[in-house]
Amino acid sequence: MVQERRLGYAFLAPLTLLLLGLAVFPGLYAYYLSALDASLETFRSPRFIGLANYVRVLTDREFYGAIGFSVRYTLIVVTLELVLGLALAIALNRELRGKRVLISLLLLPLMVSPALLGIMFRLTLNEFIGTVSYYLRAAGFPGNLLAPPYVPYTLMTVDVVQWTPFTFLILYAGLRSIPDEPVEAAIVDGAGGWQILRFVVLPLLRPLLLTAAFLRGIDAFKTFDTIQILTAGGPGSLTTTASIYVYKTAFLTGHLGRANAAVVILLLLLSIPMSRAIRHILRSTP
Amino acid sequence: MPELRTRGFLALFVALTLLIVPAQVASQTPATIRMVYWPGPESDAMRKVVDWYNAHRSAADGVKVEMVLFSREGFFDKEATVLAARSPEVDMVFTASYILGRHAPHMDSLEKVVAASGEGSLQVFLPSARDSLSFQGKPYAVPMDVSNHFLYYRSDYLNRLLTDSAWQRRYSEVAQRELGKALSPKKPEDWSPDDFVAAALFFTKTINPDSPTEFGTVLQAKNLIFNVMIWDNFLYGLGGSWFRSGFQPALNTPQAQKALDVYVTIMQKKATPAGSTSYEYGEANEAFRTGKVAFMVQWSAAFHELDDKTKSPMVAGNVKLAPVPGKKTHVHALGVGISSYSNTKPAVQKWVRFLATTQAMRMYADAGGIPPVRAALANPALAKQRPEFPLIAEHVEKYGYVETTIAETVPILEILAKHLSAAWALQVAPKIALDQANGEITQLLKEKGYLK
Repeated sequence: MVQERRLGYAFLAPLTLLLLGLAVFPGLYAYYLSALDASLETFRSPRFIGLANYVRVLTDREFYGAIGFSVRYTLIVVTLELVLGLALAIALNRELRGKRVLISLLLLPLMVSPALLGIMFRLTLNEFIGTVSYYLRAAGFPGNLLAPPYVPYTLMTVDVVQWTPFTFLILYAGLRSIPDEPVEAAIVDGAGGWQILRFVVLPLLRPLLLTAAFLRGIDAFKTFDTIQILTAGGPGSLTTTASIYVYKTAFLTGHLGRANAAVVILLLLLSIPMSRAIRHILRSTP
Repeated sequence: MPELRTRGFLALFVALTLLIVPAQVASQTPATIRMVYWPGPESDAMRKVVDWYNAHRSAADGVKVEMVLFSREGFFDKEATVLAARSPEVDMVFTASYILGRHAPHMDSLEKVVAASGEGSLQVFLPSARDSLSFQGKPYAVPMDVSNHFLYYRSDYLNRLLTDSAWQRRYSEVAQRELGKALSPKKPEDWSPDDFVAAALFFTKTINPDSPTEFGTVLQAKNLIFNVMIWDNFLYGLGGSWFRSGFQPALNTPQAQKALDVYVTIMQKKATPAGSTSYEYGEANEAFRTGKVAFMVQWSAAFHELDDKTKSPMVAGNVKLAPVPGKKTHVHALGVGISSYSNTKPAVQKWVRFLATTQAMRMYADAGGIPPVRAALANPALAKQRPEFPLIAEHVEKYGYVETTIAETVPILEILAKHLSAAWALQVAPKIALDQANGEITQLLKEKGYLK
């Protein structure tokens, strides 16, 4: 018995060490740094300054601007990605010629790294050499979608283009796993297409919809790469996300302590809705 | 007994051989020094110098140079992390004027490493480039590559403006109507910031339907520190600067307001492409290359590709350079210095002294680098291939300025990028942007002890 327990610990040890090293230690270190006047120059001998970093972050208008933009961005892109992903999943959940090829093509944006996608869009949206801009201008629309006031919506569109395949994939798998009987029973009862979707399919897909929304929500909130490449958070702070705010605070303005305070505040702010969301998902998962 | 003695001698011989030979071999093996660089034309040029040195000087100096390339994205962050960790793995630090203040506390001053004058000294380099890699009055790096700005213009259009009386009349009309100023065309070499704006409006089709270009100029107005460096030329050209005496920020001055008005007017009048708010180096080049704009302020590195018939067939041959209006050019240099944590300092110092020679810098220039050394840049043979090189030397020497090299240079640039880009995009009034920038810089410098 004792030997079995030891063996259990031995098997657990590598993963536990990995978690301690890559998650717990950096997490605790972030708390530690947030109370110091730490920068790359003073990294070895930082001063303890208590809650000063927190006060500074909490009185910074730009911090709230970044959170506000991240929240708006997340709500809009996640909603669009869920709706489009579901629509695509329903559209492809039938026998179609060339369906496999179509699905493979649909998944392509997922395979591209966000930074690379940012560079691709920087080229395609360029008003002189970009194909998208060319056709937009030819159709009488504004030629540059990276200029205000369109830029936030352009960034959201880029996110939707990249990540709708992800929600599609999850929801398509969910649709394929729905048994035929409830749908057939609804048809026998005289339900129309919309009613079947509303009262049969969506309730059955609910756990997957929540999971997809949760995963995309986390990811969208911490978006960095694409926006950094396309606008670097500007003009001004118009498209600065929480991640870009933290990055700039840490590496451009050089305040490692203040950046970590911002991270801790974000963690605290997000922990309540996150824990509720996780509880909700776990409860609604059979 | 004799047998024992023989064995004893043999043992002694073997022991001595084992002790002495490796020491001899070690003394002949050159000390390897590791120099960090970023990938790109700079490292390609440096590779040639390193290879030559390793082939011809390594044995005599007892030094072998090894280049270590970190990827360019986040390069200085990575390097700063290595330095903050006090790692002896890196002997030579690759640095830049705007980041030197952060690196310098981890680097050795070159004051006593290089010769006082002549070859092997920093006197080989142009003064503003030398200053751009000095921190608190002491040199910390050998300037390898210099960057500055020029006014790039289409000589075909600007020459016509100087000779065509109908164009000249229209130019004055446009200046009067749009700016309320009586201006007449001048040679680009003599432009003031006002002439720059007036010409930008004249060459904009929506303002002057006869304009051969769609836009007069292209501004780089993305929220990016390098774009602030370009705007700084107007600030300094109009007599302003970042600081009054003693690091007191001077961003809320009439000069700064006027410099910002140059951009804001061009934006308001749509004399630059609408997408300029997301433009940086590459996008500006594309606008120029496709013949959409008549002139622009751009980094010196662009000339090589814009005047290349294969890369820029629409404009090559008609691209000329002039001083930035106001006749000031931001100068920054990329360079290499000695890490304080190096374990091979005598070897590193020999390499540094070699780099500070005209011979090394000529080699570097021949391989595609832009060393701030007059003898290298003005070399007639090289000037045939790179006609901009003598101009770089001249402009850096005559018009060059360095904002500052303090540790807070990047944070200040970042504050300016944030507020100025908002004003450039017409999202915030210029005065508000400048006041906010000035306030934030003041707060930063107070926190860091520069101001009371």
